[in-house]
Amino acid sequence: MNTRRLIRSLSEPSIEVIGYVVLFFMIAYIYAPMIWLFLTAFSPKGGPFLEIPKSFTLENFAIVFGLKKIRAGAAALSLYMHRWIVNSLIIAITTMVVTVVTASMAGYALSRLRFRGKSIFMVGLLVLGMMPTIAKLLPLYKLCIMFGFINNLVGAGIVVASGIIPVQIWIMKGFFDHIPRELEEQAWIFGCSKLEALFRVVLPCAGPGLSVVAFLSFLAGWGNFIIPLILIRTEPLYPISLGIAASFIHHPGEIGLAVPYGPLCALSLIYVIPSMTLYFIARKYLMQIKLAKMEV
Amino acid sequence: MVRVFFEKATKYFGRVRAVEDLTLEVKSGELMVLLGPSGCGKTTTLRLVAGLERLTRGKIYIDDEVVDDASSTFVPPRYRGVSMVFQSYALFPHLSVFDNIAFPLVIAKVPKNVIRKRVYELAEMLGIKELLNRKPRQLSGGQQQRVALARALISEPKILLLDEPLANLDAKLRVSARIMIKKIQRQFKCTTIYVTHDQSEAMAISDRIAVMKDGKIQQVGSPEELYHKPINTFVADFIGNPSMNLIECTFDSANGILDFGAFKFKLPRVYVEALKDYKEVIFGIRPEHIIVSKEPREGNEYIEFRVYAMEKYGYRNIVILEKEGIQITVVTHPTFDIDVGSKVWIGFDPKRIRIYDKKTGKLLV
Repeated sequence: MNTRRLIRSLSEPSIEVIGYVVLFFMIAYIYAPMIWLFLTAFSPKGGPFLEIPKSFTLENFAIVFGLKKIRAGAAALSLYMHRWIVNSLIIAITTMVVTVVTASMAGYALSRLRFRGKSIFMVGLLVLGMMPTIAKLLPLYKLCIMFGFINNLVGAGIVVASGIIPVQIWIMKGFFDHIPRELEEQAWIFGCSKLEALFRVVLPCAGPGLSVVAFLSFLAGWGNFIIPLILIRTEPLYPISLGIAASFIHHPGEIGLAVPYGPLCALSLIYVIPSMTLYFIARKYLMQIKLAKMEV
Repeated sequence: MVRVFFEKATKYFGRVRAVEDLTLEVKSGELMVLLGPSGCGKTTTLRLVAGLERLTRGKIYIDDEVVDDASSTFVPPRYRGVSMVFQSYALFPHLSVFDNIAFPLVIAKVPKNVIRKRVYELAEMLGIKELLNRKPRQLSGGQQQRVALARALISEPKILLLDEPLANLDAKLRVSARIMIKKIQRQFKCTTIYVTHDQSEAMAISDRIAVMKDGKIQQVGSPEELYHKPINTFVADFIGNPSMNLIECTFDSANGILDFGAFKFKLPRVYVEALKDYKEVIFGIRPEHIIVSKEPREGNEYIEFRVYAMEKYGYRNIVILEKEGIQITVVTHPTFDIDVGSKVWIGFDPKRIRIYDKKTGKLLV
């Protein structure tokens, strides 16, 4: 009895310690780049190496927003940084609007209507959603030329949306499946047409689902790299993702010489803000994602 | 005032029969209860009236107008002047209690000040005035039920459909809620169809009851009719608590004697004539209509049984008697106290005996 208690008192803290050690490495693994980024963004030196800055400055942010000129070598690049933020927003918002509208309508239809071939259609959507965008590149590119989506931010947003809509339809269907049909039926009985019932009852109840889809699709548009890489040709139209990458590619040189690390880190920090903010808004609804019912 | 009439209404879901050949008239202003075990088609019947399901065959009339004839004519729910309370209440979770109750009027584009006045009046009447600013999830089951009822009544519907409105309430609340529903129904004078599987609730609230089984109507009548003259063994068994004693036996028409194996019983002469063509029958008598005595009685109409079990309820006792495999349930006065295993003598009230055909289950006499 005593020995068992002794073993327990010994083993419990040690398990805790192991836990903390594991946790420390995981946090370091995830947060080290973030901390590096953070320090460099606020550092006046803005070098490529991790160092604790002795003073603190907002100069890098001023450069990003074009309020302050940068040394000659990287001047051209910094001219566009604030535009890149707007460009990313345009792509992200387009993706979000297109996805929310189509995924909610399609999800509602799939949740409520019975039609032939529905289950095959659903599986097809899932397969489509799992397909990498690059795999669809050739037809996608041809279509983009046809629709004039080259160097077109809204076009890029629409193309990004096309890649994520299938899975978002599944998510939306999952939310609709969990809204009792009786709510709509009740609305019909009380004098609503089907469309009125959808807008007055179903969509307000699907609020959490809509915000989840909005969040995920905004992120998809905001963070997308490959579609802008293919469709956007000129630097002023770059989104942040493409801009940051291009800054490294276009300024090869020796490390620390040509690349404006300070402003780029500031830009990267700005890049994180919308996703984080939206996450905190959509957080409680993200937990509610449920798998859509497959039965027809 | 408005009546609802089903003419051979039939509904199949794929190949599954939900309602078959249902012909029933719900009179204007009447409270008709559809009673039956789960899966008997009573909720489907309700949904057919509301227009949430389409008929497979037959017709439904509301106020002499065909609303569904299983082919070209189908009046959608919103034009039927019907109101409904679902078993789940189906309160709109994103709207406050006020907005929930006001919903039908908002859709009908009634002026705002009129809506306010009507909602407050009705909320006052149902005792939910303090709850108007809350959201449905902040309400108890009983409160939700009253909000759902208020919402169903606000537009003063011609027809009110109630689908197990009390099923989600606890036993004590159920009694007060059903009294309230009955009162309100009288006040609004709306034709009401009320679905339940609880026979005592049905007996308490109804003007008439339609007992259903497997999509078919078994019997329609007032609670008294169903209680005293159940038309077949299903209704006899379903109505009443404890339910009717139903014992298989053979009938000796020459002597007018029922042979139960363990004992024999001589039927009164009035019964014998009607039964002369039958041999295999079911003898039915309600537990309330059996006379029990601790002392041996004279005469062959008294039969000796042994007490098998006893349940005391305070206001009555239920005694289960046994004789050679035949069990009989008897309801006695609470002062009737007896040990399990002791002997009793019972007699049947001759006017209350019902005899059913064993093959069809139909009432013979």
